[in-house]
Amino acid sequence: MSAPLTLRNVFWAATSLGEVVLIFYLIHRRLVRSHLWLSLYFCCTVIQSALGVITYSLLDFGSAATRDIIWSSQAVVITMRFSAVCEMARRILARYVGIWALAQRVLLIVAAGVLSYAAVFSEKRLSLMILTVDRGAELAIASFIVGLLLFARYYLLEIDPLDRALAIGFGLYSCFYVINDSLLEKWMEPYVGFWGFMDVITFLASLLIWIQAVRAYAPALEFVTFRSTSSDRYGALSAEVNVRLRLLNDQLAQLLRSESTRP
Amino acid sequence: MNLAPLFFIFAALVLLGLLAYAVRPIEKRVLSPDSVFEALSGPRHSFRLPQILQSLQPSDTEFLERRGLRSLRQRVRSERTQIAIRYLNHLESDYETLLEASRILAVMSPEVVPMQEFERLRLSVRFAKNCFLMRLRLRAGLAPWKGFTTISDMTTTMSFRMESATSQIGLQSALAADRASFMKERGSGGR
Repeated sequence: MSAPLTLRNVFWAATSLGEVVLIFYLIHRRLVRSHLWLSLYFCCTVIQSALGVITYSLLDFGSAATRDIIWSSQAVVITMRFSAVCEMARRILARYVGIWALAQRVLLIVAAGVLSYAAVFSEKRLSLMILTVDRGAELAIASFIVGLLLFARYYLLEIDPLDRALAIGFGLYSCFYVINDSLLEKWMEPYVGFWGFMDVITFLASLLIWIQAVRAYAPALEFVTFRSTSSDRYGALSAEVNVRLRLLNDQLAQLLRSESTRP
Repeated sequence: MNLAPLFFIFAALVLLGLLAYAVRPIEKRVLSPDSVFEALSGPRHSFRLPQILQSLQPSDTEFLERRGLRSLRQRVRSERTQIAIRYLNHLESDYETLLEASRILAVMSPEVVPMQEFERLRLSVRFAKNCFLMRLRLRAGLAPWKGFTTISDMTTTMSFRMESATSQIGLQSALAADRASFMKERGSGGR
């Protein structure tokens, strides 16, 4: 087990470095204000890594105190991640007022539903309870992201490449986290070290996607949206489409009437 | 045996699949509102429905059989089936245009009615299913009369829904304009 542990520490250090690099890019590209929760999330992950190093060096790996500290920090990090995902959803959808109002309700219901479903169908053993909650939260976040992207796709909404890359990173990480946790519960309980290693690898992969996105994509400029049209134009457009639809509808009704007279 | 981990793995894999689908670039060209409304004013394929239905009736080609031209009848029917399939493709395209227009309206609207949106989603799924079944029926040489009527009904329903949606948007924008002018008048009167 020592080899994976050593390798895990190397990758752990790499993820911490990646987080710092990402925070640097967020500041350098002046994205902190528009991506506040994302920035706070990465700050939390850096603090969590530092806390992990201190805890593991001072306390016993399997002690109750270590477990409490690490899992408490994990709860904070997951909450921050969910906040960053909500912030991303707002950035993508908030400029479409009607769609955003609908999406808020649907996505939160989906996330809450998945979380409840996960709680009901999970293992009730106390030792696995934290893992279960953690996994349920990740599944809820993944559902929220996938729902958000499907929403945007259905309504053919424009998504800024940076937000798209962030969503992919968050989605992939959450999905693989769920798979990883489930494998641990089912088959890999004796290989906790390897599970931790896989977790770090998954996070590192997502981190690389995010770094590349923040480094490469320019911050979104103002999108040209239909909302920017005046209410007069808006009214005129809707009146025009009304007339054309009525014509189409009359045509179809006429056809159906003629069809019904057939033998 | 605890199946929960397997359920979670399955759910995560499904989500990964949906994620891959959702992030694919949109193949369809996103039309501007003006071009969608322009497309709506163009000739509709649905107005050829009676001719298509007539041509698919067995009675329409029976005289060929009576005259002993069985192979010609088969060829005519096969060609007409191909025309009906192409008609179905055009009908689908008409429906897509309507859907796109409805999406643009939803995007523009300051308020979206969830039930209408879900109803539209449900209608679209049903429309896609019926088109698929219709194609199967046509290729199998079965009578498609009933199916065509269902599909046409759905297009009509969609038009009704669109009309109701656009009326609401028009009303809202008119109210907003009235409110804005009222506020403006009040503001200028107060000074």
